[in-house]
Amino acid sequence: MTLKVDNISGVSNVLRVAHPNVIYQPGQIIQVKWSRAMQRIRYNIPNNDGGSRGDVFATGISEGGTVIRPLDVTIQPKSLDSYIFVEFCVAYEAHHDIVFNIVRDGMLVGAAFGNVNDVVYNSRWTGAGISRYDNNNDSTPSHICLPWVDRPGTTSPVTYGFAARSSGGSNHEFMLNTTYGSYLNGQDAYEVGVSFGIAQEIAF
Amino acid sequence: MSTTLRNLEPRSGNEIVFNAAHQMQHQGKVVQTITTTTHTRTTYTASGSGNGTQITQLNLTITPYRADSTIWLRWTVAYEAHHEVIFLVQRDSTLIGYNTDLGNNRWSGIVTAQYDNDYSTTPQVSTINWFDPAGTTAARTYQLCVRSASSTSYTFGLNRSLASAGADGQEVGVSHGIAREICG
Repeated sequence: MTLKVDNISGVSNVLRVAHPNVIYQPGQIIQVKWSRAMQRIRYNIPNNDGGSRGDVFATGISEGGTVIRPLDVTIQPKSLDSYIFVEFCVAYEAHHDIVFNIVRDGMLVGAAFGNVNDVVYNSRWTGAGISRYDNNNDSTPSHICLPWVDRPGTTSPVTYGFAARSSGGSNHEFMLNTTYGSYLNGQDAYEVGVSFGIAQEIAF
Repeated sequence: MSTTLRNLEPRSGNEIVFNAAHQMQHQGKVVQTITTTTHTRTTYTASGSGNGTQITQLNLTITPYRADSTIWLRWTVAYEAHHEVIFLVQRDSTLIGYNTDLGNNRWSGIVTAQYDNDYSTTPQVSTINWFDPAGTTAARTYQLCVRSASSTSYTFGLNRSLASAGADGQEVGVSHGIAREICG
């Protein structure tokens, strides 16, 4: 049924659409989901090479990198053709030879693919984001906000993950929310932070 | 009255108009947005004691429509500061935004100023997020704060370098804050 109107008014100024229903228009943010991670965790980041867009990684370690699970954010799109604007804002310390990618249900979707058609080649030194060079791998965390726009084409729940991968011949450690020098509890001048995953469904 | 329908269209034209006082809500929808922008070039002191120094130009005041909403706070700040300066969030001067799993130590915050070994002429930009359950429909003000992570106090330059409020090679920026109510 299609209803045609000029104006809509709600009772007591509010028109409430009962959960889980929605009313939306193209371009509108339909819903926002988020995760927040406060754990201080040390990850060993290998330098897996290869892999293609769409590869599925069942384990925590993938060709897209090691998935930093506490940042996983799950969203159930209301519409098949929606876009998902996903962003990870991460406090971390890591060597500058690390790149970051984004996975959806373990599948690499957010990466700097080396092929112009954006579907084939994925080397260990390509990433959707890059660890900042600061020449300090001891006492000062860095931070990054890494965005990606995806179109999952489903109304089933999807989980986005943030993955880190060494870009060179050496493995490196990635410290979530903390520093190399004092990773469990921090101390004076060894700061501890908080990280977020954010997913916004945007109506097509 | 409850109406069930699949599509809603304007009777004519391309708009369905909501009276300014009316709102449409569903769970997860952003039902209001408050913003602030500051071009002010000033300095603050980030002390290693207390719950942070408020960057008052970036205060965000919002009155939630619903107590079960969540307030998504986000600041993008141009600044220069020592790398032992961390960002925190207060609500009505009460500290809420830091690593609560660790506890309220002076080195516990949300993000830290980037280490760049230059504390004179080059500002940097950081984005700070926080999510706060609304809890009530009362107006509240969220404050972005800075604190030193050590016993040494540091100067925080908002929208400017530490060396000057603007000169050749000493850049000036603009900072923003945004608060969104995500409907519960």
